[in-house]
Amino acid sequence: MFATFKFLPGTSLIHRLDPRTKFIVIVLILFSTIIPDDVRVLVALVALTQVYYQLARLPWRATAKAWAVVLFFSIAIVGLFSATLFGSLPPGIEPKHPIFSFPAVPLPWGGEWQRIVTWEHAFYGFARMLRPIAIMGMVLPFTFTTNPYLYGVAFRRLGLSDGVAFALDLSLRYVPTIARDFFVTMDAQRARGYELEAKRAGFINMIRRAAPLIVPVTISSIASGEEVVEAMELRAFGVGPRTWAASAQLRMKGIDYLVLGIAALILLTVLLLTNFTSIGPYWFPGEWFD
Amino acid sequence: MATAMSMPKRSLWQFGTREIVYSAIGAALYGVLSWVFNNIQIPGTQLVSVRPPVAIPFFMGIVFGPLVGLFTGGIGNVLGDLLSGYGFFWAWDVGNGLMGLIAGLVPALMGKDEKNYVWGAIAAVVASFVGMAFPALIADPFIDRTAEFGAALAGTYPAVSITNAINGAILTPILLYAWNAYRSRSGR
Repeated sequence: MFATFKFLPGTSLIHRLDPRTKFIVIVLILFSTIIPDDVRVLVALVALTQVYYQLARLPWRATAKAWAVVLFFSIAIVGLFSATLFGSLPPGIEPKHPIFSFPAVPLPWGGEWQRIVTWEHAFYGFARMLRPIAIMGMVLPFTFTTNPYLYGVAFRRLGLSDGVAFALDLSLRYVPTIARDFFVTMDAQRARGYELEAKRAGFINMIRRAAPLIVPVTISSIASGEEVVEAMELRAFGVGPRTWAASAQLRMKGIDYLVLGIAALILLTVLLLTNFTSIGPYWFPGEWFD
Repeated sequence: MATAMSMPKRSLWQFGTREIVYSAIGAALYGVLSWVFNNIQIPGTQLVSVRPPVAIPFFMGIVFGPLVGLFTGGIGNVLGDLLSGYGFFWAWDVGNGLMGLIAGLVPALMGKDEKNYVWGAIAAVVASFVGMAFPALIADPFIDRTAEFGAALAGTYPAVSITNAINGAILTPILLYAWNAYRSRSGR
């Protein structure tokens, strides 16, 4: 079993963007989704992020699982359960258009409480649901179109210290080794009679049964780290600035500045709309339901 | 080759060569083990929903310092999500990093070292509840605004923090014991 990152090499527009561009654009769009509560603005943001996602030309079977997770989370957990059924409304918004009511629940101290689900709640839930969908449209292209071995140098060029960026780079390089060690350990433990099938399937027992798998891999990985530390110190790591060989691969091109400019413009537009117009804050078309 | 030299006392906030390497190892361990237990069917068990790898950031924070714990939890969670192909969720990455950071701070501030297994378990429990408060009670309701605070307080937060606390309280002392046994045998 191999632990591999989901990077898919390609030649799409998004593949050709600098990793720094893709990361900064995610941050700009993230802020753009946080600011408004207006369904119209968030629908437009989802549409724009879907354009970005389609430009990456990712095969559906590669991203289906991620989309399934985020859609379930967004629709069922955020939109339906959290916001519509049990959520509150922004300050100053009165619920006036009921959809249905839960049965009244008597309270221990007298009286009763009844939850009435309204169209105002549904619109607010719909708005909240759109945020993670918009963000996933930006995050998945980053994950699948960026070579993981460029993460370290990209974050170094974004201003992270040599130490932190190198730790990130080194952690990616350790992944295949540790994955191999885990499966070797699992097979070795089975050969020694370790039974993976839980005889008494209690919660605590299930956790304890993980120890013979986790402990050997952890201790052996850390033990091997001492040699790496000594090798780095012998090569004077940290004495001066590190030379990043992959740095030459990172060059901002015209398309990078264009995409960054578009993302910045989107954020600016959302800020202006939300603060100076009626588009952006919570919107509910009451006349549709009267 | 093992030496008889004991490890010199290091500053709690030092991030030198040793901390860089152990941060990388910790993050890779947490990422791979999270991917394994979340995605691979271990025959005959239901370990998928139990999250034992969460003990890794606690252990790394206690043994190698809060900055190593922070990196292990934060970047390790990112790696686990990348390996699974889920993308990444920034608030939960920060929360996992905070768990490792706090686990490294608790015993240090109380003057306990990695040989105190009770404090190791306490650190894991405290770190779980404090670390998971950021994504569940702050980021999701008030920053990303994808959750209701009340629903998070009653549902998400206790579910994740209690699960992590139980996993950490059981496995962190086991890891500490194994580490101390290795150190005494190898003379480190």
